[in-house]
Amino acid sequence: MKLLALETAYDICGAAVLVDGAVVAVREERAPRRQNELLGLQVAAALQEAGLDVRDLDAVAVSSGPGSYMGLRIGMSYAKGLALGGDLAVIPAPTLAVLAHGQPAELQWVAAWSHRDLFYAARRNAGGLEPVQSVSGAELDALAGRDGLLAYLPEDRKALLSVPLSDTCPSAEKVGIFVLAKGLAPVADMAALVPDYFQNFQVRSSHHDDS
Amino acid sequence: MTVLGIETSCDDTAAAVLVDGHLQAHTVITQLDHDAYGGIVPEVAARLHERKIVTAVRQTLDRAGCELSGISALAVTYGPGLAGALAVGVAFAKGLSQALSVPLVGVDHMEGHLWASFLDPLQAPFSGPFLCLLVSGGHTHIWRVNAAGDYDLLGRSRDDAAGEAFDKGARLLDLGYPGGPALQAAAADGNDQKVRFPRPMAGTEHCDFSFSGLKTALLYYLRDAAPDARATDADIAASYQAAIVDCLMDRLQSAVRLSGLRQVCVAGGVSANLLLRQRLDSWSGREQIPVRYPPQEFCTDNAAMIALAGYHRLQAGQSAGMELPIVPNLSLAGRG
Repeated sequence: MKLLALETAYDICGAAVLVDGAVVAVREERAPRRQNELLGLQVAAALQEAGLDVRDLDAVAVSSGPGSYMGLRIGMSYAKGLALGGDLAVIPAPTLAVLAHGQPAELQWVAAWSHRDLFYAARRNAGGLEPVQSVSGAELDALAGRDGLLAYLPEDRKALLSVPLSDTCPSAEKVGIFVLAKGLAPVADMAALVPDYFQNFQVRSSHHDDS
Repeated sequence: MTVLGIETSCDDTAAAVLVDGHLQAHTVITQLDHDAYGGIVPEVAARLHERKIVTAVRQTLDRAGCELSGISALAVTYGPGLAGALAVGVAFAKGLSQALSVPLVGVDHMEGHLWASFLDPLQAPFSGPFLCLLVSGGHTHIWRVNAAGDYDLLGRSRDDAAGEAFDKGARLLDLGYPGGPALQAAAADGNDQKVRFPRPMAGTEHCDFSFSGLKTALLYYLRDAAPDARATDADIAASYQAAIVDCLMDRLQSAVRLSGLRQVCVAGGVSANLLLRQRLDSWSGREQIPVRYPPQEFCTDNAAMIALAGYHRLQAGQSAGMELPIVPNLSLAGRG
């Protein structure tokens, strides 16, 4: 099984090539708002190091959110183009589940900073994750309690939380390892695939009917 | 050379296949979901592109009878437009070009419009530089087209675009949106001599436009005309449309005089206007200046024009790398 894994959901942009379960090439860096310019170059470099062509691959796994809207759609759209041209299967990997994979079980919550004081967070259970929630820092403190929290957030946002933090970080390598460990299946029709934006986009009306 | 074009800059998900500059098939999937919001919502547009882009490409390849392995290059719109919407097309095109090992070229959306007239297989292409009057809801420009990727801006609207003048006029007359077709339909049986609207900038020795005063003149006419002396809506619409078209023709003729170029194409949504086309045809015959305009379906956003502009760039030896940026405020002006 030859797998290309992509990570663009937050500010980490990366590509990893896995062959028969082993990571053979990785290109990755912290690159806020530069995923569009970087991702294709990283994939080309990682494939070259692995000695593979796109058409040698069996599947492309992509970090599917929730996360930054722009990052998610760049990763997913790129994966679709690559899959269409290379006749590859597409495997979406839920980003918080990837972050939690292989981490100590006593850390019952995993979270990643979204924007302002909001976080995407989910409680871990034996089967993986309970449904993702969008919560404020204060709410996350109350939920995670004393047990602490697996978290991915910038240094300058750490003041939003008082719960003990155990750092984790998105990476393409983890996306690939997670997908293989869980035996995740490709989607039947990648044309209809969209990232997990977590929320349907709602346009709020500025006019209120108070009657 | 078989070029696959991709366009996702606003609310149309579009793909097209061109072989040696000749259109084989194209698909435009228009997003209707914005109607409920009264305007295009950028985040909604981006998400809908993501759902439709593979379908648009597959349909186009099917209709063209073309296999993916037959594609020799990709052309994609990288601006101007909505950032999230552009990102879907650009990222998708990068993945596809990498998988197919074919070159990728970035096309300016407005540059696509500049070439749209030449999608008509019955019209001979121009040789050498030509003028392009680009008129849409967002732009009113006159360009000197020197070669693929080499454009000089000769004139532009100092306020509203011509398409905006149609939209605002149609709104004042309560004719609906989009204003161009609505105003044209309302004007069909009207007398265009009934109301004397101004022709801003007419006769000036430059190529700039202005339409805000015209819109204001209509507003004041509707406010001030005595009920018993007021023209019919058809007459008002016809007079207003004639004023917009007079302005476009006057500025175009000024550009011909100032540039010395005697080949003209007209593009963008307003180039669908039938009065404008009549006036262009009679002027063309009288002055012996060849004029081209796009087939009706290519006046609005499509990927065929992107593929054609991309084809010209590829022929000139240009292509982009995987670094191709997304440039929401991209402008053709000032590029060599």
